[in-house]
Amino acid sequence: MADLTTLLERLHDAGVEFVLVGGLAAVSQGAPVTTFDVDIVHRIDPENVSRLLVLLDSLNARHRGQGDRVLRPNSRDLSAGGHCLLMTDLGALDVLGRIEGGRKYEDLVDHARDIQFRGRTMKVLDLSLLVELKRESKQPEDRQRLTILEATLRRRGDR
Amino acid sequence: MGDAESNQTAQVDLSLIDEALKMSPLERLEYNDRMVNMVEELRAGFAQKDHG
Repeated sequence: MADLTTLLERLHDAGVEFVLVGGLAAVSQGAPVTTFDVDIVHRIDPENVSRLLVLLDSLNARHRGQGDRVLRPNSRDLSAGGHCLLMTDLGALDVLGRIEGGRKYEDLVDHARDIQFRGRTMKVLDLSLLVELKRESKQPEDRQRLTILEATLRRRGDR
Repeated sequence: MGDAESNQTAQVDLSLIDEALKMSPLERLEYNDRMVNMVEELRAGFAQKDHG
């Protein structure tokens, strides 16, 4: 059973530095969409990668799409700046070194909002930049979702 | 509001956005979890039916 909220909680409590991006970032800011995974951009440095790996191990993380083969993430995967698409015991987790335009953690953190949940503070990429990123994306699913995100941004601005 | 923007807005149910904006971030995250699990249950139900 997916429990993406607890997955976020565990990332926070493990001391992992990350910015929440993607669908769940949009959901947390009021977009009426449903998303099946957690997307994060993590800070790539040895200590942060090490904290992330300890957590991933405790969550039984493995790369998705490997059939019956169980392939565990390692520090090289998480330091390379690419995308690690993982399944954990709490649900799907995409660990992204860089996203659209080659943006990494340091490029995104100044565009993040702090949101409070379960007594924690988490950095979430602001909806206005999420919309910009979706505009840059060539993925059909991103184009579809763009209309909803733009409407949410306008509606939020109206208040 | 221009025609293009008006048409785009018409494709989106603004009442759903308003309901979501009333919630706290935690409520939105937990709502998403419930939706995901409901969809998974429905998918499992369909898979069972297809194999039954």
